[in-house]
Amino acid sequence: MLRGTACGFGSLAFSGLLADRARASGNPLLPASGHRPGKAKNVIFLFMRGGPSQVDTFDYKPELSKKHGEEVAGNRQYFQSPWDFHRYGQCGLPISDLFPHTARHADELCVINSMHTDISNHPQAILQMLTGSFQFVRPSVGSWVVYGLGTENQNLPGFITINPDFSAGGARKYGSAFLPSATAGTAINQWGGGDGEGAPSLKGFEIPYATNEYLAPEDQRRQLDLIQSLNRERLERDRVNDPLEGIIQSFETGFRMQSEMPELMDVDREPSYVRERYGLDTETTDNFGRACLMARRFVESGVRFVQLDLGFWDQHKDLAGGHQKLADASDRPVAALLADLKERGLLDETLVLWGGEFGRPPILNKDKGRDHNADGFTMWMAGGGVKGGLRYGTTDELGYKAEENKVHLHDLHATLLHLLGLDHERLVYRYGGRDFRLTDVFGKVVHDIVA
Amino acid sequence: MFTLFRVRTSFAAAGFALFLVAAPDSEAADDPKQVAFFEEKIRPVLVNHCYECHSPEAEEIESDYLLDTREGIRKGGASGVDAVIPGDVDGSQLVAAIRYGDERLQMPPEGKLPDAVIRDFETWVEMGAADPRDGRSRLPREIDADSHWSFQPPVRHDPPEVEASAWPRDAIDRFVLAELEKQGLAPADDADRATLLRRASLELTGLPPTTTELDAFLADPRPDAEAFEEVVDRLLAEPGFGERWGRHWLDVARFGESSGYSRNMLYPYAWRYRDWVIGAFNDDLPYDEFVAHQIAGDLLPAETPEERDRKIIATGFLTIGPKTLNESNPLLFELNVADDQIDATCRAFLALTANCARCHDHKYDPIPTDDYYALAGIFRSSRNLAGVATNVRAEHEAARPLGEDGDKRLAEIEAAHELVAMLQEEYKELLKPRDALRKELEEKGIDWKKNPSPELVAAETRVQSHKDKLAAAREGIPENPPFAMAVDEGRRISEEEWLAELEENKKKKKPTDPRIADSPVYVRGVHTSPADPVPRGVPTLFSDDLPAPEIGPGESGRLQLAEWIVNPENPLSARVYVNRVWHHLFGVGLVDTVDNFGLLGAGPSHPELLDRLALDFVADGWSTKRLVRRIVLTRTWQLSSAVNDRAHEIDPDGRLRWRFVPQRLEGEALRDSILHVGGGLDREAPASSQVHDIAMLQEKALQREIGRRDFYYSQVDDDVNHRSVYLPMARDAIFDSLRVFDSLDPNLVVGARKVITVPSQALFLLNSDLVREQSLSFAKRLVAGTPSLDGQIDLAFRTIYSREPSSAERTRLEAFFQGDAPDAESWATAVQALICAGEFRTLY
Repeated sequence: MLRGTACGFGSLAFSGLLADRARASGNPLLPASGHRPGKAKNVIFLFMRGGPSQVDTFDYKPELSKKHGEEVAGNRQYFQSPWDFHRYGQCGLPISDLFPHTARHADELCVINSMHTDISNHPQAILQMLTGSFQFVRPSVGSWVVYGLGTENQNLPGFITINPDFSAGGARKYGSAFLPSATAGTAINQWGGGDGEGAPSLKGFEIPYATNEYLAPEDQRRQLDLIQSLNRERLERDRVNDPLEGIIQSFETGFRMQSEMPELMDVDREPSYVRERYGLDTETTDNFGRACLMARRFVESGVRFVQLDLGFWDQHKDLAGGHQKLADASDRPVAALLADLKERGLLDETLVLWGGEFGRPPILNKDKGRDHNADGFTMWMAGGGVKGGLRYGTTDELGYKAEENKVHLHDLHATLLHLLGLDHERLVYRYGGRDFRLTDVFGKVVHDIVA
Repeated sequence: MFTLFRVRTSFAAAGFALFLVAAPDSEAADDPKQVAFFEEKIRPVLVNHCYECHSPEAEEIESDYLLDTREGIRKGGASGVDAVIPGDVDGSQLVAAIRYGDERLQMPPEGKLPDAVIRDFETWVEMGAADPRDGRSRLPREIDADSHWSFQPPVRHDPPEVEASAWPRDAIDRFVLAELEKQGLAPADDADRATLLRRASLELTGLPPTTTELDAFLADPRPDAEAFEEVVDRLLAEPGFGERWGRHWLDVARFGESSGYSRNMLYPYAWRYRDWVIGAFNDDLPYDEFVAHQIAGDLLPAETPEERDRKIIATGFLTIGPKTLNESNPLLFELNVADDQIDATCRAFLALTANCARCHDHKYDPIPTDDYYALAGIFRSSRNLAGVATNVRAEHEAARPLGEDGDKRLAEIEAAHELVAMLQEEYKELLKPRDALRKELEEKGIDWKKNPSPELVAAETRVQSHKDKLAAAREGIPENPPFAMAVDEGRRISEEEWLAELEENKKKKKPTDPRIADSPVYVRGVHTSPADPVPRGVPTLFSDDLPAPEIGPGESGRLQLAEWIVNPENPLSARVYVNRVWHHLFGVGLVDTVDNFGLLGAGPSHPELLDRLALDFVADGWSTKRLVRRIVLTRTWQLSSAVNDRAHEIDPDGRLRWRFVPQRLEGEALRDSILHVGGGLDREAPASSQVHDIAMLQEKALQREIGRRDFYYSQVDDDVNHRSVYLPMARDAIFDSLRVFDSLDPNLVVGARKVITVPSQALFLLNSDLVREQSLSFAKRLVAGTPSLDGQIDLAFRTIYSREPSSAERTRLEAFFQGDAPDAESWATAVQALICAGEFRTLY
C-alpha cells in the first residue's frame, strides 16, 4: 500500500514531501504513505451531533446515585442515569442499556472517558470538533486526512459525509478551507435541519445533479473532454492558476462519481441478511442503518474518510425520551457496522470513532433534560490500531469534569492522525505565509490507547 | 501569611495571583552593589524559569503576571496581591510561591528551585529588591491597544516619489508603485480592452458585457483611458450596480429571511431591507448616511412619508439577524438579540469583534465588559419590530407599519380586532340565557324548535342580531398596511411602572415592550448574575480622540451611536469601508481580515494608501460610486493578470499588486451570468420576495416555520430567473444554485466570501436543468442567427468569454463537431462546456 515511491522520499522531511507530491502530480488525491506506517488506513467517524450524555452512555458513575436528587442551584438536581449499566466482554466495560448491541463489541471498544473541549455552544463546538477551530475557517479533519494520505479509489471522493445538516457552519464541517479543494468532503443527503426530526430518508436518495437527462454517457464524456481541454489551455496560458487546477480536479472527480457513487449507495442490493442486520426497512433504524452500510461499502471501495451525522442529542428536555430514541436509531446499525468490518477483515485498518462535540452534566434541569458540558465527555474508538476493551481516563466521581489522563479534542485529533501514520506536528500546509496544522499549536498523542 | 493572598483554588490554574498597589521606586534600584546582586543571582533565574510564562514574549501570560520590569514583578498579576514588597520577605507572594509552601501556589511549576536560589531571592527582597529594569509591564493587549495602527487617526500622506514617474495615473498608483520599486519589481502590462471591459462589467454589475457593448468599446477610437471612463460611468449608472454591490453589503449585514437556529421562522418583511440596500447603492447614498439610517433611521428627520419609510426600513439591519426564538428564558432571548446587534454593528461598521466582551474583557482588543454592556443598554432600550414569533417567544411579533397613515391604519386594525373580541365575548354571554331557556323547555319535554317560548324567541333574536354584528365587525377589519422589519425606541417609563406591567403581562403570558434603561453587566455573561448597570454609551477605545456622546435619559442612544460611528474623527469607520470596497475590486483587501481590524486582524499591506483613501473618501462626501470609480480608473486596477516569475516568487499572492490577481465569481454572479448568456435573465426586480408570499399563506407569525413539513420547501420555487440577489434567502435553506458555489452563510457577518471548489459544483454545471436550458437557448439563437460555423464559434466565445477564440480553441471546437454543421442540440453541449470551463467563472 505504500505509494509515492516515485518521489523517492528516503530521508526527506515528510511534511515537505506531502506538499511536493500533491504539487508534482497535480493530484492531491493520489495515495501516499504517511510519516510512518500506521495501522489505520481509513476512518469512519460516527458524529453524534448535539452531545450525548456521558453518564448515561459509557461513563458509569456509581457515586452519582448517592447524590441522586440533591438540589443544585437553578432548580436543578443531581440525577443518576435513568438507564442501568452492565459490564460487557472479557474486559468488563460498563455500558448503559442504551446500547445493548454495541455493547457486544465491548472488547473492541476503546472508551475515552476524559474528553474535554473549549466551548459549550453547539455551533462553535461542532466546528471545533470537525475542523479543530471554532474561530477561523480551517480544513476539516477529513480533508487533512485526505491531504495527508490521498485516497485509494480515484473514482470516488476521498472524503464522504453522510446526512450532514446545514447548521453550525454548513459545508465548513467538511470543507477543505485552504487545502486543495479536492480534499473537501462530498455530501450525501445534506438537509435543512431545524425540526429536530433528523435527516430525511436515505432510501432512494440520489446525489443531486448526478444524472444527466440530456446526454448519453459517451456524449457527456466528449463534453467533459472539451471542458478539460479548454481548462488546460487556459491554465497553460495563465501559467499559475491554483483555483483553475481545483476546477479541473472537481470535474474529473464529479464525472467519475456520477457513475460509481449511485452503485455504491444502492445498499438495497445487499443480501437480505445484511440489510436486516443493519436494521434496514425497520423504521427506527432504517436511516442510520443505510448510512452505516454505505460507510462500510465506501471504505471497502477505498474511500479514506467517511463521516456520518446523527443528531440531535441535545436533550435539554426529556433526556430519557430523546436519548432513547437516538440510541434506538443507531445501536443496531453501529453494532452491525463493527461486526461487518470485523468479518471482512476491515476493522484492523478502519478506525471507527464515535462521539459528539461535547457532553452533558450529571445534572437534570427543570425540564428533565441535561444541559451542555464541555469539561468532560466520552468518545470511543474501535479498530484501526487502538487498544480494545479499554476504559481510558476518568471524569470526577460524578462524571462532570475530565480528571485523570485528560484528552482534549486536539489530543484526539493528534491521536487520530497518529493512528493513520501521520504526525500531527508535521502534517502542515503553508498558507498565507504560515504553516497550519489540524492541531494548531496544541495536541498530544495519547500513546496509552495505541495498540 | 498565605491568607494575604487571594489564591486560585485549582492547582492547575495556580499562578501568581495579582496585585494592585504600585510600589514606589525604591532607592535600592540605584545601589550598584544591589543591582549587581540582581544581575548575577536574580535576573538569570527569572529569565530561565519565569519569562516563558510571565513576560510579554510568553505565548500565554499566566495569571496576567509579568515580571519583566521592576514595576511588573512587584505589582503581581490577576490576584491583586503585591508579589514583591521590598524589605518584606514573608509578605512577598513571589517568595511564597518559590518556597513551595502552599500547594495551591508553587512556582515554577516544573519543580522547586534549589534552596540556595530561594535564599538568594529572600536576600534580594530583604535588601530592598533592587531592580534596574525600568518601564511598564503591560500585557500585550494593553501595549498594542494603545499603539495599534487602526485605533490611531488616519494620517494624510502625500504619495511617495517613484522612479517610473510616467506610470502612475492616480495617487493610488504611486503608493503601489513605490512599494513595488522597493522590492525591485515592476507592474505588469495594462490589460487589453476586452479583458478590461469584462472585468469592469462583472465587478461593477455582476454580469458580463454583451457583444454589442464589447464591439462598441473595441471600436472606440479614443485613447484607452478616456474610452474606459465612459464605460465605467455607464456601468455605475446601471441598476446592476446596486444589485451587485448591494449583495456585497447584504453579506456584511448577515441578511437572511428567516430566524435560523432550531426554530427557523420566516421573516416576511426582510426583503424591504434588501431592496433598500440595493436602492441605496444605486442612488449613491453617502456612506455616513447609509450607516446612520441603519442604526437610527427612525430617529432622523424626514421630509416626506417616503423618506421616513426608507429610514425606518433601513433600521431592519438591526433586527434581520438570526434569533433564538425557541429560547424559553425571555431575558436570555433579549440578551442574545442584543448580542447579535452588537456583533453586527461592531463588525460591519468598525471591523471589531466585540462580543467576546459579553463574558469577559476582550482578550486582545481594548473592549472591556463595561463597554459591551453600555452598548447592550442602547440596544435593549429599543424595540424590535420584526413580524416574527413562536409559541415560545412573541417579543418581536409586531412589525412596523409603513405609509403616511400606517400607524393610523394599524391602530384601526387593532381597534377593529378589539371590537371583534369584545363582540365575541358578548356573544358568548348572550348564548348562556338562550341556552338556559332552551334547556328549560327541553326538560319540560317541549320541542323548543317547534314551540319556542316568547322569551326564547326574543333571546334567539338577540343572538342572531349579535351574530350579524360580529360578522360585520369581522368584515370591517381593515386591510393591513405595508409592513417593514425595523426597530424603534423603547418606552420612557419608570422602572416601577415597567415592573408592574411586566407582572401584569406575565399573568396574561404576554411579552412586555422594553423601556429605555441602562443594562447591568452580567458577570461572566451569565444572565442570572446581574451586577451594577453601566450607563448606555459607545465603546471607549479611542475616547481620547473622539469624546463619548451624551445620551439623554429618554433616549436609547442609537442616534448617538450612529453619529459616533460616522464621525470623521472615528479612525475605523472610513478605513473599514474603503477596505471593503478595495477587497471587492481586487479580491483581497489592503487589510486581509476585512471584518477584523483589531489586534488579531492582519495589518495593512499599504498603510499609507489605506489612510489616504479613507481620508479622501470622507472629504469626497462618503460617495461609494466615486470611490469605486476612482479605484477602477487607476492603472493598478487595470493591470493584466499575466504572471511574472520573479514577482511571483517574491509575492505569490499579489498583495503588492504587481498584477491583477484573477478572482473567482461568487455563486450569484455565476448564476446571473449563465442566465445572461442564455437570454433568460429577468432584469425586473420582483415585487417582494418568495419568502414574503409563502409566509403570507399562514395567517399567524407563529405558523411560519420552515421546518414544518411541506410548508416552505413545497412552496418555494427555484425555477425563477430574477437576479440572484432577489432569490429567497431563508437561513439554512438556500437554493442549490447559490449554495454549492459559496460558503454563503447568512448567520454571520461575512465581508469576504470563502472560495471553495468541490465536485458538486461540477455536477451542478454538467447536469442541472438551469445550465442545460440556458445553453440550449443560446445555442438556438446561435444556429438561427449565424450561418457559418466560424461565425458561430466567434460569437460563442465573444458572448461567453468576451474575447475571440484562439486558433487552438477554434480547432478544438471544430473537432468536437466532427466536421458536421452542428445543430442547436450539439451547440448546446458545446456552449455548456464553455460555461463549465473555469474561465467563465474567473474574473481575469
